[in-house]
Amino acid sequence: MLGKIFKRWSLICAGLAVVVLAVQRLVFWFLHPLYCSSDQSVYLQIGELILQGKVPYRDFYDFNPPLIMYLNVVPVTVAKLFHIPDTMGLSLTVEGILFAATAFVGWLMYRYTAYLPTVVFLPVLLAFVYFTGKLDTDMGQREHLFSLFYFPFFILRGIRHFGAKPGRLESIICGLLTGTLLSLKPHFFFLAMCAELGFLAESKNWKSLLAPEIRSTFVVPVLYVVLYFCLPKEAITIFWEQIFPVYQYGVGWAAKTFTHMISGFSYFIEPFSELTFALILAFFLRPLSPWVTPFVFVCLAAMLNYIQGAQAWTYRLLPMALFAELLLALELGIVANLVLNFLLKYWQGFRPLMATLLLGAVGYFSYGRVEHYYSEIGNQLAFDLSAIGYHGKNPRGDMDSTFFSMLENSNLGDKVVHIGTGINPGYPCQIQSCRPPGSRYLYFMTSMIVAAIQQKPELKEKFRSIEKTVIDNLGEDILKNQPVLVYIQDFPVFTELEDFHFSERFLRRYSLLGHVDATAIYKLTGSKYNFHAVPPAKRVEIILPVLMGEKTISEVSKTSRVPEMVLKDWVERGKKAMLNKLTDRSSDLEDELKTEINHLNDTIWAKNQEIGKLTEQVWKLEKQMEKGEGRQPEKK
Amino acid sequence: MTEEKKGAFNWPLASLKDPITLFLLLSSLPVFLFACRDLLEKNGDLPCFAALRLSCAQIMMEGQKPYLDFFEWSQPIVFEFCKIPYYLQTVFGGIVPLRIEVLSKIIILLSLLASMLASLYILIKARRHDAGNDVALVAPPLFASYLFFFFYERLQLGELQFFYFLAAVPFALLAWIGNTGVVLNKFLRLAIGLAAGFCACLDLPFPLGMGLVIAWSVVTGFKSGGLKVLWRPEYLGFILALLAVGGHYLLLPNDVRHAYEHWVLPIKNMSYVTFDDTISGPQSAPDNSIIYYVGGFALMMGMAASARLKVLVPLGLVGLSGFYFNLLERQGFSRDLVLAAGVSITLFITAGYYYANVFFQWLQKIWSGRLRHVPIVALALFSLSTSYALARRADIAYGMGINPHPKEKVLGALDINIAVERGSKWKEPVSILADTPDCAYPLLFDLERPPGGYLLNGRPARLLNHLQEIDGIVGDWREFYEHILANTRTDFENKRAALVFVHGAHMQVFLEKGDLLPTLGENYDRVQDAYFASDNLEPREFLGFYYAIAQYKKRADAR
Repeated sequence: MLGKIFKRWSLICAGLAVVVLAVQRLVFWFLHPLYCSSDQSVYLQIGELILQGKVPYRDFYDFNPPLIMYLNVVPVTVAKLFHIPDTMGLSLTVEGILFAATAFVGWLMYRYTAYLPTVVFLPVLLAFVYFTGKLDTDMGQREHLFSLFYFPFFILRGIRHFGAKPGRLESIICGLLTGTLLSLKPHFFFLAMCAELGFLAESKNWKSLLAPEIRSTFVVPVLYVVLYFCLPKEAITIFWEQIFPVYQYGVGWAAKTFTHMISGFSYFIEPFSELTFALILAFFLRPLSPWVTPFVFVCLAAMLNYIQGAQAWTYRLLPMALFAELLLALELGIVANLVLNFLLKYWQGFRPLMATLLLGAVGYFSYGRVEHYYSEIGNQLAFDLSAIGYHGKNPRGDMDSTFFSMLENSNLGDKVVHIGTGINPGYPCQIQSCRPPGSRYLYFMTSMIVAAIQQKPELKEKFRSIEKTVIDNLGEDILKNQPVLVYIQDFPVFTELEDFHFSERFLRRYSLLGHVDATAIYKLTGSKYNFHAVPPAKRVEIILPVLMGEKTISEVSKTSRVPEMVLKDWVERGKKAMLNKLTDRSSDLEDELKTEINHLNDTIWAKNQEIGKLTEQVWKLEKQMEKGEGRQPEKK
Repeated sequence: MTEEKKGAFNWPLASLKDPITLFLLLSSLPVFLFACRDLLEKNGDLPCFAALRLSCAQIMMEGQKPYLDFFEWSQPIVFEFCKIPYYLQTVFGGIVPLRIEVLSKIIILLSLLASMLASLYILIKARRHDAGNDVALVAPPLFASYLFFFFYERLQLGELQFFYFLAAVPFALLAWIGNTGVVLNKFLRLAIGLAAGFCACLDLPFPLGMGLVIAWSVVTGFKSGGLKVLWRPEYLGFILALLAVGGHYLLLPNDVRHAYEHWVLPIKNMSYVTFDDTISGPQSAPDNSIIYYVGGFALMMGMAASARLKVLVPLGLVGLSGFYFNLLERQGFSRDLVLAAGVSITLFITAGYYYANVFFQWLQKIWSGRLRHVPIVALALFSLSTSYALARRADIAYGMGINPHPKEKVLGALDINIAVERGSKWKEPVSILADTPDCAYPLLFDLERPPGGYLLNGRPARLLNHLQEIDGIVGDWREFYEHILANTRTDFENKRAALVFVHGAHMQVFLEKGDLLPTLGENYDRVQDAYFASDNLEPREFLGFYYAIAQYKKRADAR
């Protein structure tokens, strides 16, 4: 009786520990609803476009195969369903997947305890949950999604290899989902294949290769290939004739040397050190658990995948980092199991005691994390999401200056184009500010084309022709869609575009507004206009008759020679400013800071005046001395 | 003579009847002889640090103190080992006059031979015991691995990790055999333990690999004998070696020990945690990813096969420590991966051979052909062809070392080989100030140009620059910094070196901040720039950008 109570108590504590660890991270995402990295934000944008009926490659451009684009329809739908920003839709969807994966593995552990001893696998499950809890910029990346789906499949495959007979339905569902994620990148199959070899090395259970989950794993890739060829012919042509060659030869434009990839920063060297340490322990602990070998195989396969990628991108390292931590957790579990079995010989109460201690430790840790999330944003200014049509706030520090420039110079729903070497900062700013793309190119690839030419000079003509095509397409998109803002990176993109007389051909109706994040901002003004020619005080004078209803915009435009579009913008902003200032309120932090900035500016101005006066005095004194010196010889 | 003793006396002869031993001799011996000829015939191909340490040993024998009179951060015991060729030259020079390089190479070859013979002895003895079947699976690939290792690391022979590998293999075999009850010669076991112990002291992180082997031995032998395992002769030898190295250290002069503890250890540790920010884009560091590819597959295969071949466990542990050494160094030089490469090759071939045997045994069951010897014949053919291919690869690399012709060239600059040869005379000191000594050694050793400055290894310059930026230089760092500046200034003022080369931004900044450039300018004339012509491949590897090296020539004294 007491034994049963102990067991049940231990299970409750263990389950609670997993739940608490998983849920604590939600606090972070609720505090940062707009937090998103560049790659994921492009996929979200693509998800939006697909929901509008657009077709990949033909209507928008991206270097990835289409699966990830269609998968991102899910977070976008979630976002629309709950009326939250797309970025939050993604983080909540991924958290949801994590909960589901964790629950499934937890259920497998409960159901097949003989194959998945609780003490051995509880640290593994906690490590799995903890890993996603650490992620921020790589949250929702392809490798992350793959790991989330693959881990339950890996556990299912393990118990199958070692003799269990999991149910047909859950096996098929698990296989289908994993097959979907395996199709994201071809080398994910290599990882899964290595895992199977690892299991076979231990189990020699060749029959398990015909299990339902394996057969269903192949369904999605086959379906994917078939559906791929159902894309419009134009889309397939663009993929093979433009996208594929540029990616094949140009992907090295941001490549790093191998040493940098493994030890350049702490976020590279730490996973590699963890892997090394885990492998060392694995050689010691392999005889104690058949699970060690498959874990080792997955870790090493993931490492080979990362190295083969030849890029120092952290998300590519995620499967290796995750499985290295899971292997370490498994090893910890094996040792803990040994210790606990030894202790249980003396007193059965050690099990609930350990479980309670674990729950306490996880609870304490989670509390610390939540406190940290709040303290992190404590001193930061918050951005009110009402400006983009949502409720809530997000720390301003999460966003780039480009984001604020978009907010200031365009309205919700206005189209924007950002042309730079990388995806950032155009994305995530556009998805964060809810400014849809004004061109099929969500980001630009001239640097990749240059790298491709260097890599494959014999195909120079082909790449030049692609370059010309994409630049013409971009220009035509701008002419057709008339985005309110066009961002062009100062270097090297502006120079590269000017070789094709880009601004002369396509930006005649745009005026240079300023620069942000090393990028020039062009605003749609109808005709060329020099913004710096009219200072703010003069602008007030110009728009005042419109605000008072004495004149129309076109009348003022004629007299002041300011383009109508610019005037319209000034009027709208003027109205907003008045409303903003005439709202009843005391001061807020932002205002206080502005006051302080103004005060400091006044001080600087006063000091400069002082400097001016002193310089004048020095100058006068020098003149006097010169005169004095000039007279001296005369006296002699 | 008793039967037992007779047997022991006749074992080498009796072993010749064994097909495996015969295979080993037939395949290894010619390749080994070829290796000897190849190594002794070529000149100027010692690896960078081996040549540098030999140069250090030479000046130490002339009375200079390490770390105080010159800076190279090797362990004190390493310098002592590097004196051996000089002692041999002194003793046997009258009978057989040989250059230090040749003597060093003979030592390298003898070490290789000793390691192979020790392994052979252990395996033959083990074959007569219960582990016989496993030995038949381990011995042929192990010897093939020695040859592959030799040719793959042809240009790293003499590096510390090379000796480490040679000591680790028999040590790992002993750890494996030790628990099976095989009786082995105690003195040989002691000698292997001593060799492993000394190799574990050659660099700061080196105890890890051998320590893991001992730990595994203790864990696996714990049930049978508890901690008594540690009383085995090899482990006593290991401890004896550690004590000897400790004793040697205590006998060093106080000022040398002070410099080691307060300068060398902190700067070495700092080097492990400070990444060189010039390592970024492709080509800015050597690309040795191939070893990770081979290592990845080898560890998978080794892990799976270790269920049967337990010897793969200690070998795998040594290999993983090799990979860790590379992570710790954060440079990616071939010399940092010698151990990892050696063990990866061994695991890959041994596990591969094992699985080939399993496969052919299975095939034999379903197809009644005589397939038993297919794996061993295939291995022999593979050994010979791969050894040849690797020897060709080493030949090409050797040619690039002597007469470099890289894809990218620095216009208007001379290769440093030519610059040193033209600008200085035999026995005239030359100083090459660079972050790593790769552009200086083995060049200066081969041309017999003694060191002309304090910083033979210029790494402290980069690290102290970095420290100055983040924390400022205080305490021990300040003492070391001022020591470097004082020595370098004196060297410049006394025009100790005929030529001074300054390589890279780090060193330039260091001289600038230390106010040494004016002194250099007063005593030396800047002449044509040199460069370290290379595609960043062995034997000419570098870190950072492919920049020119400023060359300064000693100004003639006014008469």
